[in-house]
Amino acid sequence: MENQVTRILHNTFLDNYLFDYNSSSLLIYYKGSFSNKVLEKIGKFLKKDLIPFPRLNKKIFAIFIELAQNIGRYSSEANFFGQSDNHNTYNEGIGSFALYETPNTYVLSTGNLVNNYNTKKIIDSFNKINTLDYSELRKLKKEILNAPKVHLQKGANIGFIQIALKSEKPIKFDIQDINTEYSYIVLTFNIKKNAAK
Amino acid sequence: MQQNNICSLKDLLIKRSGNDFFIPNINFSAKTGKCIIEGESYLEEAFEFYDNLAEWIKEYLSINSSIEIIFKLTYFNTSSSRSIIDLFKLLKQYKEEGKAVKIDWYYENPDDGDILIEVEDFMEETNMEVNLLSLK
Repeated sequence: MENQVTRILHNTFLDNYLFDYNSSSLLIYYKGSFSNKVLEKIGKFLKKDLIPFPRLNKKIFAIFIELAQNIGRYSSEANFFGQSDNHNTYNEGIGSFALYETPNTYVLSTGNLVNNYNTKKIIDSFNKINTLDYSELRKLKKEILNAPKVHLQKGANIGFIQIALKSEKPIKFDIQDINTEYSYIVLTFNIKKNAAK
Repeated sequence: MQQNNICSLKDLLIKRSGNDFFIPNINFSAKTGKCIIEGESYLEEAFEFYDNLAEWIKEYLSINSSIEIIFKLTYFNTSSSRSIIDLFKLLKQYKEEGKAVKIDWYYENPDDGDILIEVEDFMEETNMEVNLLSLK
């Protein structure tokens, strides 16, 4: 269940992070849970030549899936369907997602709640990714793919590296404290329209 | 000469469908050892799905001496790439044990999905040979 604070933050996401309506056009905006069904629907919508360049289309689709699955899995705000425990067992993490277009780029942006005990780790990860160039990122990705699995590892742990490889650097991220337990994180990724890679 | 024991191992057939939208189509033949992984793969947690494939491969190679894995994936998420590299490692192990293991990877031409970069990474990390074949 969404409380008032997060509702305000999700709306602020739209206002603050999708600014500059004159020079950009919104293609997709979604706020809610990132369940498989939602991914399927948005994914299908994306694939229907929303972006008329196959390479860009695939890039955006790939980034969308990684972002959406991260929110579904890790967002601290989730659908509980009346359960009383705290487990996000349905992968229905809640967040906001926007895809918009400027004259030279496509922009993907997400917003979701995170637990404060994770924020330092997240900030460190993005800062690290932002210091690495393409070949260093690719090397790091291979290292992690090759490493033994950690306890309870769910994914491949390379989602953001993969996104960094497919978008412009630096990755923009903004984390706002909500209270002692939670913060709200907004991520923004840019893809140049004429990107060869 | 390939020995085909008439035993419990059946073909492994998995079809992508309404509820299982994120899985590739699987067609593993217990008769010929031709194993096709085709379509897209974007399970959130790919381990269970691919472990299932690995188990079939292990069982097949316990009674046969050669196998051919054919990848025709046009997209896979990072969760799947971990599972795919683990599969490569398993196959490499069998190759080193003397089994005839062949991996074919079909890619789209042009490679708009940047799939070849991923496969190159898999090949490098596992030292496993892969035949790269254009779909067109």
